[in-house]
Amino acid sequence: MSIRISIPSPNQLSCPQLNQSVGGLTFSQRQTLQAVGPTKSGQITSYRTGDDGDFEYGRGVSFTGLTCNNPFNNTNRFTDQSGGQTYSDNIIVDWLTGLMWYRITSSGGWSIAIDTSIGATTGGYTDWFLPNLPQLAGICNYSVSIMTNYAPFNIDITGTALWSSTSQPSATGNAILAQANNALVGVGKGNSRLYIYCRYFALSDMGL
Amino acid sequence: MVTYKFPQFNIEIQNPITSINMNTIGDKAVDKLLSVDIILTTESSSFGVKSEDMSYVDTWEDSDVVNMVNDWLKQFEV
Repeated sequence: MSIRISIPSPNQLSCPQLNQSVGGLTFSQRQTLQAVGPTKSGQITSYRTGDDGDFEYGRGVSFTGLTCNNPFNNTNRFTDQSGGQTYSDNIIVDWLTGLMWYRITSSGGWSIAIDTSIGATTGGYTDWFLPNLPQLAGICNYSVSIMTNYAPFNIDITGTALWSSTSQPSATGNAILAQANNALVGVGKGNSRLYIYCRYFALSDMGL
Repeated sequence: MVTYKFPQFNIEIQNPITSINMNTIGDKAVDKLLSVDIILTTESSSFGVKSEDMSYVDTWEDSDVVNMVNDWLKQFEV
């Protein structure tokens, strides 16, 4: 069965879209949507039975491979806006999460990272934002020693880290960031770290 | 054909390719004991184990570590 849904930006279904009796989703379709789980961590090596590398839970056939074709008829999770792997504008489309990323890092404190992100007009888009923790974690690949240093991101954060927009609940003067040693930790918001920004894309952005 | 059975895995690992990550060598110089991370790769899966407490006499070279790992793995052969 093919389901076509008009998805507003940000990429989230409204309650009427989910629930309306005419034109909405059936109960079965809603259950399927709610069962859509998180992405894979990328870990493919098992260190004991029952660990992440054993189960490899998460959507897709691998960290960078989709189960079904993307609209460009390939199974690459990440493509450029033409469906290829050139990334001449450094914009990455993530077909597993609906996020578009600008892979060039900038540096600054947490507030600068947020202000710069929401003010960015990269690629002609004006709805960029600093990723929250799950959004940032979704591109962290735990099969490589520096979790953001894999194609097409190729972001080497050795000796530094990437800001998320999420604050640390137990110390709200800190925000959570992704460190080079693959840890997600809280650091004072005034410290200068790297950041990248993202946005939710629409298919029409790419002429689809 | 070699088959390994490690206590941390429910399954037997058959005829894997063994890769030693030399960047993970730990040397307890006082006790003259080495440790190193190993990846055992089969056609369908990849298993990570850490060989520990491999003893050496006075000094060691990278080539010694390969031999130590091969000896260490023997205790897990089925």
